[in-house]
Amino acid sequence: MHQPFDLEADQVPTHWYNVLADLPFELPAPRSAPRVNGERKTLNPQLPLSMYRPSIGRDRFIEIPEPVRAEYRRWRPTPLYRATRLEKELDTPAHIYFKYEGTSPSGSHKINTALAQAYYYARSGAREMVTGTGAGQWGTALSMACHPYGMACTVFMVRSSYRQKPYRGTLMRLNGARVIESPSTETEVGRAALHADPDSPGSLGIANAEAIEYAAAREGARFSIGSGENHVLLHQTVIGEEALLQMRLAGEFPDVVIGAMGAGSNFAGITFPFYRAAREENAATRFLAVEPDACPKMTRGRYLMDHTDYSGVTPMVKMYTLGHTFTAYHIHAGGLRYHGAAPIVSAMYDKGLMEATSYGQSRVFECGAAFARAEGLVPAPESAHAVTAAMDEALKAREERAERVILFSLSGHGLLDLSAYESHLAGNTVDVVPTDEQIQASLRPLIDSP
Amino acid sequence: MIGVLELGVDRDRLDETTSLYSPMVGLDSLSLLHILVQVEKRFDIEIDDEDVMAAELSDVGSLVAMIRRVVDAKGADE
Repeated sequence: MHQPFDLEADQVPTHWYNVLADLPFELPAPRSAPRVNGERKTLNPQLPLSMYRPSIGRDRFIEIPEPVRAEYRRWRPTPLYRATRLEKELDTPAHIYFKYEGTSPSGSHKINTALAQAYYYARSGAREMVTGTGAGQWGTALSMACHPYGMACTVFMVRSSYRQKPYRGTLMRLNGARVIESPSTETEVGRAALHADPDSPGSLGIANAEAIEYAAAREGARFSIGSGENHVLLHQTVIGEEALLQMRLAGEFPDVVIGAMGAGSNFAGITFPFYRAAREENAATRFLAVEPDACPKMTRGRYLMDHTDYSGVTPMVKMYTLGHTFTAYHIHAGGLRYHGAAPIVSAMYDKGLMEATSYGQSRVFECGAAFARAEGLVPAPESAHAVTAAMDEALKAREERAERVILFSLSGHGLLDLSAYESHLAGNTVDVVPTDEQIQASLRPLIDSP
Repeated sequence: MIGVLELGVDRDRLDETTSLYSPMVGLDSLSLLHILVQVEKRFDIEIDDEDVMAAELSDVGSLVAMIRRVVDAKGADE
């Protein structure tokens, strides 16, 4: 099966890597949020300043606070494997490596930033963290991260996922979180959504809007998010920093580094440290983001100023986007349905430093299943996108008879997504691709605005 | 203070009672953090998370008062 390249316990990174230090350009400045509520009297920053500060600076390495590093040591360093059986089955001269984040307590990479955020929020005096979650990976991670710091955790979970994946809710409640099906009757946003459609399946935009409203009304509560913000990407670089050391153990340097692309934290986590190393070593390494055909923000979106939330109340940032009102078909990889790409990843893609591709979910599940059989690990539907691109790169290497070193991030396990694999085995997986008209409809207001 | 805050507005039109939410100042919670980082650089100080969390930031005066407290505290330490 797979060949491991293990690090020692004390090789958990001491620093996060800030890619802003190595970008030969400035990121476009955000644009202020619209004034939506004249009644609001006080301005409550939701992010702790000490967490925000390094995420906009140019210091190359940011020291990981020791309490966070101590938490990381509970399961990090995560393994890096060479997928030797998969290589054999594909009959490829390529070497396929993967960094496996599924060994974390929450089963995915999300907890890398959840623990860091919980540390900073607790230190700033917060007593409760509130968030929205779609497929449930982020909510699970945050519920586990709040507990060590004695904070309460409230999670608004998108109704369709809440019902499709009941074990996700169980896992969060087991960790002490209060899990609320969204849309809910607890907030104005939720009540309005239910009034408009009592059967609303919910969306991450609504769930986050509910979480923001709920947190604003509670003393000591703060809203938290784990998708494409600079600080989230920063925390995830522990993945790539470890993988760099492990690839050195393997005696190879990747020709291509691949990650599934939701908002970009997993992709950034595996690629950014290799971006730095490739620059230092003058290596022509490619960085490939893999998104679903159903939500093609990079391959078919536009680089525009847009809101990060559905309701349009957040500041605007420049990013590859399908428009904040774009609602992707409900694919199994719920974590990849976000409408925009992280501002840093977007800027790097715009400058040609990153590449992107997309796949339909039936192909993704075929490859995910093939990987599971070969390597004995079931990829989360999101991670199976990276598996698919890695397999395609390996097949291309076979055609070209070229030796190629491929590294991808297996960002989480799919053991709570077996219903999706069951659907695949039964031949019920459908591919839905948005039309140009649908994409144009949600982009038009952004293109038309000054 | 207007210069420090990089608000780009006319000094005469701004006083301590101007709401941070007013269209003239136009802050949101993220741009407030951005401004606090600029203030830290300008005065070579580090503002504690607790100070930001505890401050009832509603108008320009309350923001100036919070920054003054931190700057004065640093001066007292030196």
